[in-house]
Amino acid sequence: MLGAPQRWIVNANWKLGASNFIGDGYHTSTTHHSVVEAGVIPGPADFLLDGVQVTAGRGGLGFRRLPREVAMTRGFPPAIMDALRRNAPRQVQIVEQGLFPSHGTVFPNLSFLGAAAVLKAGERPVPYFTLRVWRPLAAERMEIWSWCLVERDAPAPDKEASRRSYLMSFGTSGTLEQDDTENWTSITHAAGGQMVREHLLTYRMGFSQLRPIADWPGPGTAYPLDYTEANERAFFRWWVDYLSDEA
Amino acid sequence: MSSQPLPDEQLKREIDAVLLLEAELLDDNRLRDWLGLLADDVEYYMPVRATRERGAGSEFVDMAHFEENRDQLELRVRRLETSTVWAEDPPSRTRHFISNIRVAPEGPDAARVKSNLLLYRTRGDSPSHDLLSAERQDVWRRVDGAWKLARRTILLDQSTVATHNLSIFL
Repeated sequence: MLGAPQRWIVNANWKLGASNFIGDGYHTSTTHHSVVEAGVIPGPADFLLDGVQVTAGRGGLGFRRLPREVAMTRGFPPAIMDALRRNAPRQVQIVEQGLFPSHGTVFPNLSFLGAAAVLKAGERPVPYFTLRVWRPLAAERMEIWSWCLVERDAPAPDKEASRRSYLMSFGTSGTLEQDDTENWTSITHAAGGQMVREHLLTYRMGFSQLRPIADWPGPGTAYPLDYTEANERAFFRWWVDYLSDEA
Repeated sequence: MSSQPLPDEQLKREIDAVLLLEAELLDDNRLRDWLGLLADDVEYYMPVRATRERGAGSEFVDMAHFEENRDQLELRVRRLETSTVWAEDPPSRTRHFISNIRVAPEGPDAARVKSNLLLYRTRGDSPSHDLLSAERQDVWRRVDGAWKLARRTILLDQSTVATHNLSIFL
């Protein structure tokens, strides 16, 4: 864990962050289009389409399918992946399918994300990992605590690059997160209006057609796309259960 | 008999001018021109600030909000020039108020410069604004007669940042 977390205020409801990270795969095509266009991350912009979304216990995550040789390292040095093989052999089964964990949330408000970004135009993306807490302050206000984590055994230059890659992507100045917090602020503002009170939001993506994977080598229920609202439906179900004391 | 000269008046005038020019470029959204004021080996750094008791040392920790070299800043500007940068389209209105400029020469072609920044920001039709206050500690270097920013450290006067993103430069 690098230093202290970044802490900042967003005038948005905390569930927007937590639900985004648990299963909002399809927002990237529009929300994060600018970073693909600018070359901060390689395209295409719908990069979470091909993946797996898993609901497990009181949490969920999305895996991104990458070309196998990329998934096997995700840009980390070989020693780090060797350590993963030693320490988490069951998880390696999943990585060897070309699936790398991308985003997730432990209900209610602890989320994580691992991805990679370019630090110099034309160079290979550098991996980073972030852990965050969406701290509710009010119905329309949250404080985000965001940590950058690096592999302790990675060489110092890799840690430095990973930190810069995190700053380029997420956190207060991250070029992806800038558009997320703009969206969430805007959504929260619109949610206070009359039109929203007269309409239902449809959260049915993948509801009728998407069947779970039969032979998923991990816990929980796994769906063969990360473009589904399965995890978001689960998140709001848990939230309603707590509110109605049926948890 | 003559006394020791005060801090170089010509240097102070030139640094004042370049700081105000830089603020104007940022407030006028002329980011390519702003990049033109940066040295090739620029380091642009804004550490995270925590809360510490008196005597417990610096509040600035080994983590940052910005830790940028020139390539990284160019990538950020390139993104701000795309047609899908929702965080800045419509653009934030910013006003960089620069004051308390303190200049110390460092050899004939460089200067250490401290300045205070008050950054006012609004977005959309909201009547509220964000205010960020900071001290900037810079090194400016004269390259072929023009002043370039070689290093900036932004020391924010907040631990919890009271704006929803840093899609703007300080």
